Amino acid sequence: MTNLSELSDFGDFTSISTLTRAVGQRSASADSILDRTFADIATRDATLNCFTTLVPDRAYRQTAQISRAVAVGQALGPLVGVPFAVKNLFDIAGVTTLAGAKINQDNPPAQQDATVITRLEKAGAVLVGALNMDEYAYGFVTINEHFGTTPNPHDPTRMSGGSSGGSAAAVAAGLVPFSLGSDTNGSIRVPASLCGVYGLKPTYGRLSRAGAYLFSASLDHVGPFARSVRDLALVYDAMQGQDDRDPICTARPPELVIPHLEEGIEGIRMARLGGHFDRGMEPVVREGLMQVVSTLKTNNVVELPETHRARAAAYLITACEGSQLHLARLQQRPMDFDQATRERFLAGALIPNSWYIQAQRLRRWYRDRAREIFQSVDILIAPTTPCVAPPLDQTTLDIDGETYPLRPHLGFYTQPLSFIGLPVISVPIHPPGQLPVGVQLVAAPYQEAKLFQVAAYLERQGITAVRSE
Amino acid sequence: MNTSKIPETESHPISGSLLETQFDAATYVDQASALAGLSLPPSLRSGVIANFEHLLKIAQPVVEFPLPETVESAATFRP
Repeated sequence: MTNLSELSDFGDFTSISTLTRAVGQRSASADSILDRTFADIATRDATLNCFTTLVPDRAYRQTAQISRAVAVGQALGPLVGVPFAVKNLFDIAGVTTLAGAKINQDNPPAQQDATVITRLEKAGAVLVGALNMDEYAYGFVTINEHFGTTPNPHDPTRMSGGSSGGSAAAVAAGLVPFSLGSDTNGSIRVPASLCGVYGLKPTYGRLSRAGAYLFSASLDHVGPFARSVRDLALVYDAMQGQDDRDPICTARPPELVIPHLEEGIEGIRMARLGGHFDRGMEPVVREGLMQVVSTLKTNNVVELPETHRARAAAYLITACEGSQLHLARLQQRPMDFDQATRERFLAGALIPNSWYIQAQRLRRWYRDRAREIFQSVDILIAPTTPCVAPPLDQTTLDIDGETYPLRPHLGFYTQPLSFIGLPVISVPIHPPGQLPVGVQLVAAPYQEAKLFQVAAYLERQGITAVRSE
Repeated sequence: MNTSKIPETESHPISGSLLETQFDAATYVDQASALAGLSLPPSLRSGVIANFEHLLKIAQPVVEFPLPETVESAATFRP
């Protein structure tokens, strides 16, 4: 079935550009790429534990269609023949949407695909399965009582991050060239950082969330993971567009980023975020951050005021909305929740409305402070996580003489930014022989093109890279 | 007639220090969970109380922050 020698002839199996070129030039068939993907998953996922579901029948139906298109010389999509997988909170028609929860196994299969899956398949991509996550996306670790732990592919004794840990690890391990995750407080960016891949959390409302199982609707985003800036851009562009199925999806026309990748950074005003974003990190994280800052030749430091309050408000909104979403399940079967989430959900169901409304008002206030900064700056730079991937059993983090509870502290730098819906790419810094760590590039709403310009520049300079070790 | 007027540019915190009030989290959790239709399994009760006390600490810097009355909630609805 698998023709590995044929595939090794055309180069990097994990690069979207390489795969689409191979299919277009008929040096490899979409079927043979898929064979290789499933063989790889069968061999390696027993220890990587990224996948919770595989959909081979569906995948081979898609490759058969691609083969017919190739045979008759039809125009091929920008992702033709590229295998991908999604966090298991995305609806896949005919498959029950788990959202990391045992409780959801009792639900009927989804009737319809999530909008972003439909768009990716229209561009020629091939869905192969669904990926592990923290239960109901409430966590930064992907240690799941029901579906197991997804360890870090660079060191299996360490965390992959979460809640989209399966999505980040699958791309880091090279099982699929790209994947999708969701991000409410950092759930794309945290695992992207710990696994050493690119992760994009677009502007709030830029990509449709229709068919993605929500967590906290005020803060939920979806976005891709990939191994290069160009691949991330190809996937992002294929998913843009209005969608009436998602009430917060923007009516703005798509603003493609691919045409901007080679434009360089001339004229882009940049600054590092100070204050909250300048403390509480391991030295190795600061080194990576300052490497990016010095490559971008910026000495500017700006501060978003009251960031600790913004982060707290995001925490309250998440706890309140998440608990209300699950209220019936908390009433009827609390013991079926993961022990890592159930007491937090139960406590969140008791939050008084005055806290919630004040948190939502603070959100608007904090957004206005960010708008003021974006009058004079285009790109903000901040760490993604305060540390490299911690050991799986670690519970606290000691930095600068302070002890932090590890799990919530993983979102220390991501949470205030998703709170106000800013677009962010986490780029991987990965020195040989060390563990990777991410740096956040942050732009004003809908300015994803600038993010991609800067990320592509850093990649060309050799500062950021995805390594397979 | 009440002549005191809250200036438009500032408003009072919606409560005093949450941590200084005579608040009993255990009683609140028992009562509020009953109101919400949650019957807490005994094995979870102390964990839920601890988590609510944690939320109380997190809420403190949010609720004590004075915001102008003109700042609306960020929740929006498009008819």
